[in-house]
Amino acid sequence: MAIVSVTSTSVAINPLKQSQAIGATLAFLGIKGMLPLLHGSPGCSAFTKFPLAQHLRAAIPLSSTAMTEVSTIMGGEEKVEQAILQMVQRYQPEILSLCTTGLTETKGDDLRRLTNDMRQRYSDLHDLPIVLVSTPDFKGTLQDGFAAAVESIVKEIPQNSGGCRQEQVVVLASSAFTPGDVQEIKEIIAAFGLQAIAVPDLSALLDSRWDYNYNAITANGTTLQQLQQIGNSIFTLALGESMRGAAKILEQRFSIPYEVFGELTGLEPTDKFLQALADISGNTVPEKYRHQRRQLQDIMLHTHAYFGGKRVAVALEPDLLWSIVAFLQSMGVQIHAAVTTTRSPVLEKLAIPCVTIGDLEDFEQMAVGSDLLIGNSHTGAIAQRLQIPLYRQGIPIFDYLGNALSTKIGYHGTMQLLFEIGNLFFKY
Amino acid sequence: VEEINQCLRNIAAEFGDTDLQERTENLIAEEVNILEEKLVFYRAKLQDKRVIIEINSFCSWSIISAANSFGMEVIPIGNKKLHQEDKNRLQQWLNKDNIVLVNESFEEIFQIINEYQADLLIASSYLQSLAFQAKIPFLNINSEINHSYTGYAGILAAAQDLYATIYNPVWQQVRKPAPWEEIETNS
Repeated sequence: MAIVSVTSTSVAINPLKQSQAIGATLAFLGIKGMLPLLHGSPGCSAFTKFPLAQHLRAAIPLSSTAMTEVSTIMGGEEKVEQAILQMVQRYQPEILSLCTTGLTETKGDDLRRLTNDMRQRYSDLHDLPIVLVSTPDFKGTLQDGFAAAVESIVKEIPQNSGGCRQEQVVVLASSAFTPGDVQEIKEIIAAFGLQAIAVPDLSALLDSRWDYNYNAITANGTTLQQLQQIGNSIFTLALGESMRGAAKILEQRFSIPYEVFGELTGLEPTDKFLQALADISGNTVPEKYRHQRRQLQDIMLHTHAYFGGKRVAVALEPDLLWSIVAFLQSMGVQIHAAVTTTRSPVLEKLAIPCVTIGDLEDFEQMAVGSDLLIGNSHTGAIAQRLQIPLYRQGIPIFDYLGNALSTKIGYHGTMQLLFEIGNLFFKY
Repeated sequence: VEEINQCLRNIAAEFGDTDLQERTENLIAEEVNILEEKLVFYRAKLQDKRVIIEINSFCSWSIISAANSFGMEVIPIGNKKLHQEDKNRLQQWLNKDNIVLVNESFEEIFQIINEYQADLLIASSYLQSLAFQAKIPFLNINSEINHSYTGYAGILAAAQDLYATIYNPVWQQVRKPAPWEEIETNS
């Protein structure tokens, strides 16, 4: 049981957290034909795009309502209207998302009334699903914004009734999972004969579309058609505690039972996940994964000597923190310090003495004396100053190649993680 | 620890310099104090644990007296080629006669592990698979190339390695069957 402490909220010297709008935009990148629109000043969208472009090394389709001082003071609703109309006409998206920013949230724009109103006035917009998400950056973090976007999607999308599909499950994977993780999750689910609809499907970011000219719409991901079918699924697999809210919405809307899997890294969490899939599908665990399990056990025995008794300092968002801490502890690692960004029910449940909601300045002080740091690329400078090796996790990672494809989930991903972290201990 | 202390005293005595001898005593007292403070935690955790140490490999000698000094029950095993001189030394260190002599057959060592209800096996890598089969923690004494067990720092390193090995949660995890294996064997 961890005691959660919050350091001074008056100032963040070296921030760890990212804005909610970044998380929401990331989620929208996993939906096909999506036009993500940010209601705020052009600068707001630039600084939302920037870390995502750094992290994913890709052009990020994100448009802005381009609010100015004048339009902010004088109202600005016409700016939203103009932006939506222009973009819809020009790009014909299948689905549109509208996120707020600190500026427009403070101002108190009522986007729901506005979009409902617009739908009545313009026939183009009659059937266009519009996903509204409140993502002010003075509140919450990337993980919260991502979760809020997923909740809005599952709440707003109108459903085609087609009866229950026995093989279909919904996968809600939180921002703790990389595109490579989502790809691995889909593969595991498919091996049980189940069809997964991932909301969102970040593995879409791994498909390059060279024939696709960059514009304001996403090229790959879960389609609107698939989204309209989620109500017919038999089960929701919520991956990461922050997905519980969205899973609950699906339960209320369509009576779909759900289970939250806090982590999919490590032997026992993977066992639990595969057993759940076996129960849902009625199929036995494929030999491929039985084989991988034996391999993982063997590798755990051969690598534990490098993990046992090591002290690790971790600065990550709650879902990822939970998963990494649980995994490290399962290898005999001691958590030297844990810093996170936002409140979450998982924090109190961590099997460490305390966890701090704070920034990287707090982290730098607390990490002194540890054997390894785990955090995003902004932790790099701290690692250099403290002369402690860094293992990169979280968002953004801009000084390391291949993070999008790398996976830490399932038996296979756990093996990768064991080697990557084990090698850092081995080397130093 | 006593051996390190004695070693330093011997060196200082060789020079016949009383000042040096005095400073050596100070150094010993200081180092031992620091070490003892750090060892409190590990002693409590290692006390009365039974450890089987395979003594035919040269490297394992470095950990025998350390393990003994932490209050662990050391069960040395060796083959019949063991030198009388080595036997005498062990008997003196451990204050007991039971050096278990075996023929290096896996079955025999397996039996000893069960008989003594051992908590840990320390050996070179050739017994690794045996330890995994016997499902007891295993410290590969030859692979510990990053740690030297010499000097005061070495004693601490030995305690840390013993602790980290015995208490690593990996052992429970690899022993547990997969949930579906339990279901499949029951049905």
